[in-house]
Amino acid sequence: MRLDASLAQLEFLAWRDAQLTAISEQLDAAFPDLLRGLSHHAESAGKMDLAWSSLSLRSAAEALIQDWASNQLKVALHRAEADLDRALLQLPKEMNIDGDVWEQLSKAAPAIAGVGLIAASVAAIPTVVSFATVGTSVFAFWGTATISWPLLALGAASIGIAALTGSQSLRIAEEKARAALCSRLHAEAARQVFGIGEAIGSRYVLSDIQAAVVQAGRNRIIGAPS
Amino acid sequence: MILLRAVPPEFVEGVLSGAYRVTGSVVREVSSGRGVAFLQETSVLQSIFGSALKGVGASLEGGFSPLGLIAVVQNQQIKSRLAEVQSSLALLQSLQVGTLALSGVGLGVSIAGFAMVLKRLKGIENHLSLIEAKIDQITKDRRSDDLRMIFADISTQLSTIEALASRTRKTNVAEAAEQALATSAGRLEVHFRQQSEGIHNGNLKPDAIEVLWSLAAAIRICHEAGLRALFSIDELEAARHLAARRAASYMSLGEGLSPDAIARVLAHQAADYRSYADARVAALPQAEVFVRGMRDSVAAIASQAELAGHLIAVGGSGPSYLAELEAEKTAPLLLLPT
Repeated sequence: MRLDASLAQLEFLAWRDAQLTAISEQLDAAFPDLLRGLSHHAESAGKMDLAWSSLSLRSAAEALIQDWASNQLKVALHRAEADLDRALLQLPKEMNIDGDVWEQLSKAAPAIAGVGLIAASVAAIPTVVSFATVGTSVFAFWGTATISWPLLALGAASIGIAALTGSQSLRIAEEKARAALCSRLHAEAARQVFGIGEAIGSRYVLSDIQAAVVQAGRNRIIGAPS
Repeated sequence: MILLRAVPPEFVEGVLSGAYRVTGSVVREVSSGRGVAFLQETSVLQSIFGSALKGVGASLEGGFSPLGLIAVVQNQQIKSRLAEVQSSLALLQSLQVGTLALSGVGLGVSIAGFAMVLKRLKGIENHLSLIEAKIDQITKDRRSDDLRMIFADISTQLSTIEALASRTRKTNVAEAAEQALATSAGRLEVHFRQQSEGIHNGNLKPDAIEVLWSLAAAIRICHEAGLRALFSIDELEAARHLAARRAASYMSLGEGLSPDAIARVLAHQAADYRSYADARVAALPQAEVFVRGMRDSVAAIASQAELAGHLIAVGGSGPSYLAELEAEKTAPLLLLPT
């Protein structure tokens, strides 16, 4: 392996590693906002919704998480593309990039995307994506989600019983139901965003965003002019 | 004469100002990308390290692990001390203590004497034994036996290389030692890959990173000693090819590793988001030191291919290069302009 190719590959691995860490940190920083949104959602749910209808709650909470994830993906893609552009712009100044170097880099490209932890997400995203199109692919996944929601209103069903026994019981039951709903929504968000409680190779928002960024970056590297 | 010389102040200033960048052992002019010089450490650097590490609770030879939290914090302390001792050592600011501690600085051809390298190797072996005792009880004994044999083989070959200077017919012996070290490195790579599978399948214990680091450091010792053997018999073309291949091999060992993935795997058992986030943040610095050390090693080994190529181009010889190094008694770093 030529030194130029080694250095170019190291540069891209550094880009990848920096993006993966940055995405984790970005989602960590933004997660409290999502939790606040879900809490507000639980607090403002109507009694009837809380008591009998899990469907509308679930749809609205799902939409909140999806919107949040989409926004996070946009931020991550924007940062990753700008950083990769900077790395690509710097390379010709620092080293002699010729056909051989790009050939070696192309061979190394699968390894750049080869972080085992996000393999399932990488496999689920179309191979040919760019920074411009990858958002659509990931959004498509979230739109037809295989997300399995627990029965959010399970604890809230007791409100229906309490409603038959008087206003004091109803108020206590409602408070308990809202607190339980809030807690369930938070746990569900942690599962969907960070894979808390899921098997290690599962897909979740974090791994999908990381995979989208790495795939788009890999394709940009392969497509870079020789 | 190859004309290695002390590092001029303008190079130090150039690196500190961002006009030059040190990658591996090559100093590059950022504006043109041109390699302008090679850096080469000398034996003086090792004694300076010894002084710089005193009082920070670390020892190069005693199985010092650079991955502990304290060691990560000490990184800056040690580098600051080095720069105070010798201004040219400000060039090491981009390196990590992990790299410094377990593999030497890795600038140019390895110059550490047999005793030093053996101590380092023994330290790694001892450290591995301590960690292995804590993890994976089922395969521990079999793996430890194999590792002990590999380390014994490496020690033998290091001893052979050390004795090369006193031999009249050294070529065959050096080549055989180099090949035996390559075999040992290959066997260590198998252990490394087995251990690193835990990162991909989620079964990774915190101590496993220390094992990986130790194995990686031992592999690098094999590569550097083997390349030094080839320099000593003036097989520069072979050194150039082998350094390039070993850089690629080292790259493939670490390219699937990312600090974020390691930290997330270590945090994965957390029961809720808060514990997950705390565990990830706590594991990240160690993971970064480990992965950065792997990447630095690739650059260091790849630079040796470039150095061998340069010596061929200017008609230099490996033995005279090593002789100039050994003659240096005051400067910790030397510079070879291109």
